[in-house]
Amino acid sequence: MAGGAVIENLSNRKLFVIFAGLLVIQIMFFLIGAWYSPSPSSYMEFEMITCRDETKGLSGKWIHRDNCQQIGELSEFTPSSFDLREIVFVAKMPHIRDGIELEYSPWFQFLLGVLHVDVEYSTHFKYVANAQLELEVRMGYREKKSAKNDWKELTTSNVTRTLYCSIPEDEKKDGGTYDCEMLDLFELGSSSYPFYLINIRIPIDQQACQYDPRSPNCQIGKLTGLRLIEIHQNGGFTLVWLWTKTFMTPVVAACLWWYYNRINQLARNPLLLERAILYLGLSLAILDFPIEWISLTTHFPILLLVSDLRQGLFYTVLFSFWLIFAGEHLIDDTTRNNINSYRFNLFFIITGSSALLVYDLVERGVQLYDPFYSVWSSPTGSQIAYCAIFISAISTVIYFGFLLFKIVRVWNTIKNKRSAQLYQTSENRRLKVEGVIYRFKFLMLFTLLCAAFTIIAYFMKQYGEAQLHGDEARDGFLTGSTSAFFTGAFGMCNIYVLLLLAMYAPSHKHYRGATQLIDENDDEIIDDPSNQHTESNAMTTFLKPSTD
Amino acid sequence: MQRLLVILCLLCIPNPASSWWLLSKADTSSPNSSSSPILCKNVPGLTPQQKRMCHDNPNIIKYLISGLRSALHTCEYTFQREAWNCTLTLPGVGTSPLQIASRESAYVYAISAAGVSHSLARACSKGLIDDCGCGETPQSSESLPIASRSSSGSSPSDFVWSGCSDNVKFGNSFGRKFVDQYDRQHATEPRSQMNLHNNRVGRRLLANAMNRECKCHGVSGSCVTKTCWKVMPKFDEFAARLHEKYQLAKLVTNNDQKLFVRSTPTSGLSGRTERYVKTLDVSTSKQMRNELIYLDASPNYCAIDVKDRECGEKCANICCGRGWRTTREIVDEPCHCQFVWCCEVKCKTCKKMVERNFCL
Repeated sequence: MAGGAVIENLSNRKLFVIFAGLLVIQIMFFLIGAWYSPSPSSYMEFEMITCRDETKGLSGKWIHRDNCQQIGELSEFTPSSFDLREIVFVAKMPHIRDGIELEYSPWFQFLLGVLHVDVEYSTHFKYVANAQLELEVRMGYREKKSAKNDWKELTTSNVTRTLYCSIPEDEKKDGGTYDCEMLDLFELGSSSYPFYLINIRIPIDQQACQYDPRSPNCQIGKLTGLRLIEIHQNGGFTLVWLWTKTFMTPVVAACLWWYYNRINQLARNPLLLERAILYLGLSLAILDFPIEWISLTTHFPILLLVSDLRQGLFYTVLFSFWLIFAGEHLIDDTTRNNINSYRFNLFFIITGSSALLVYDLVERGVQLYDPFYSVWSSPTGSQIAYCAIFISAISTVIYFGFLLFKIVRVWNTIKNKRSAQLYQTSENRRLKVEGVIYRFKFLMLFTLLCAAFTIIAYFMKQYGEAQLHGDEARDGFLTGSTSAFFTGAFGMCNIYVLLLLAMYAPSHKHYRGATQLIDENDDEIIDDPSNQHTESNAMTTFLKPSTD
Repeated sequence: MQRLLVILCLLCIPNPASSWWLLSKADTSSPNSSSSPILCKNVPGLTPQQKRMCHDNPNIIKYLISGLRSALHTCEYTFQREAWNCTLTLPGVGTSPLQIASRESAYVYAISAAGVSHSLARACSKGLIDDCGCGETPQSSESLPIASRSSSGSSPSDFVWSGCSDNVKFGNSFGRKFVDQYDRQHATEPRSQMNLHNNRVGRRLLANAMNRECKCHGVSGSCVTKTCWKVMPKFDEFAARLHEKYQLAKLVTNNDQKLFVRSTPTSGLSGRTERYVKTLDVSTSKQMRNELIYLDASPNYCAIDVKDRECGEKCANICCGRGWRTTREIVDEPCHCQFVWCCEVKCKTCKKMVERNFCL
């Protein structure tokens, strides 16, 4: 795309109208999130009730609120056995509220559970740092139509987690409480059933404890209770999000089709940069496609993984695009228009994203079979996870370093070209180089603008969240800002790519039927006087101060 | 003189304002809820509205009573080393300390209001009370296609739309309805105003003592998406905070059916500042929203008979200078126990010598 993109041939007036329109659309995206949508996710807290089960779970009977022989204070309970399987921690999700049995809805998209272990300081029950906690978890579900306590098995799992707790020195007296890190308990990729029941047992093998104190549950201290926090996406947010996507998909598809036709109508083969933009548009279309509608009618737990993968794909393509864009604007570089010349830099993007891909596949992939799996729970697993995250972080840093280096080089080239004024000798050549500079500067500014907007929105979101959870919660100006950030950032993404597709498509005003224009020395450019003189051109205005 | 008359008056008729305390003495040992209506009838001095609430919501009252008990228990624990040991009926003073509008009263009202809220909120998060609400949902939409699916009221659709996270508001509102009942009917009286204020302070302090915790669950577990929730503090921690407030409680005066506090100037370097002492209206002042208030000075707790009271380490304080005696006793204690994460199993009994101090 060495010359003749739409952007170079737009008048100031048209450009202004387009920008104003896009700004209005962007603001609309923000407002949809801020006013119409509730916050993206919400939680429900379940302090698990403790029940006594004489059968020790051997009967396979579900323990729930209605058949629970409740234990008031755990510390006052005298167990009749040594393995403590007779104590069951029970939570039924969700709660009954206002006398109405609430139901989980497929609109929630995902359910995840976090477990809080309350450990009290005691001189007798010693908590040892990094103690292993083993839970026998049974999760059941109930259909809407089935009888009140007709629970069916969803999963049974033995969950092992490491308990990280700390206590300030002055709390070290009986009754003082440890501050324990929360544990990831489960993650369901779809919320397909209206009710769930969780039974947790904490078995102990006293012989194993004497033989090896590091055995599970021997050193967890004096446990006084379990609290479960369940988190899901709000149905209102899902609705707004899905409709935004459904609305954007045809727009992106149409734009992509137009762009595809445009570059195919050229007499030459599409340039690398043109193809990169095409792929960027394609990955946006994939990102936008509202596949989530399926989850509302069918059990589709893979969706959480799919949406992660789609986002990963989009960012990989976007990062690659920036790199190629900067590289293709190095005017004097002769190795341009060849993907192979970028392989070194692209390598880091591929490494970074595949490291994250591995992490995601392990964590969310295994969770498809065992919702209680967490890659962080085992030492090797967390090493792999840390490794993956470390590799991708390093790659990202190196990538941005390279990108910055490239951009600085492009700037320098532009400056040198200008000061040397060598190209001024040929009018056509001058116009072409100016075109390259203009295109580059336009995208740079636009990218920076988008980045700035996103960062501002992010901080507004943080501020709004802090306000919401401040001393006295009130409906402040920014309380809806979390959703606004998501819809706004989504809108920004779309606008950014759509504008690229529209602006950097080859213009047919001059170049319809033109041959490949990669060689800087060919002087085929024929200036169109009618366009140049009837309206002032954005490109000429833009470059005026520097060329005068 | 007038105040003395009022106190004398209070003595002769059973004061309904404080009789709901007696609920803490009520017998809740029988677990079946059918006995609870009887339980409400046996407590004298409940107002008719309180009786009705008690009768209609036996399940809730059960947790209200346990909250009240744990509040009074915490109070006794907090004050066990002070002259006033949180007793609510003192033979020596001639009247229950609660009937004197002292700072001790203020503390007891605040801690029991908070105790009730705390207990109800915990029962809500355990799913033991079906009537708990969701709190206000800031944005709920009527024109919601999801809502049309379920026809049973607005609550389930609100839940689908924006969740249902709150446990505390129900406890606060039920507690307010029940505990504040009598005082709200007598809201013009200064003592009722004081009680209402202190109850509110207790509840507000409890709500403010909640800790915030967050979980990140964005793409690959990143913090782009994050959900935060509030954790109810342990009641002991809250009681320690309230004890600080007890020590800083403000004396208020009654004027024209309103309570005023003299704001002490902080820059009291010269005598001049005393001229500019401001009076603050308690009900509107923002500073006073988190402060306990009282109307009268505390009675002299040393005037009561402290004979045979166990005084532990702080006998000089508690016995009011009357001296103490030390006894040695041999007590049975469990020992050589095996402990598992919840409880102790397999203990032997050992004999142990303990020293105990009693006031003379």
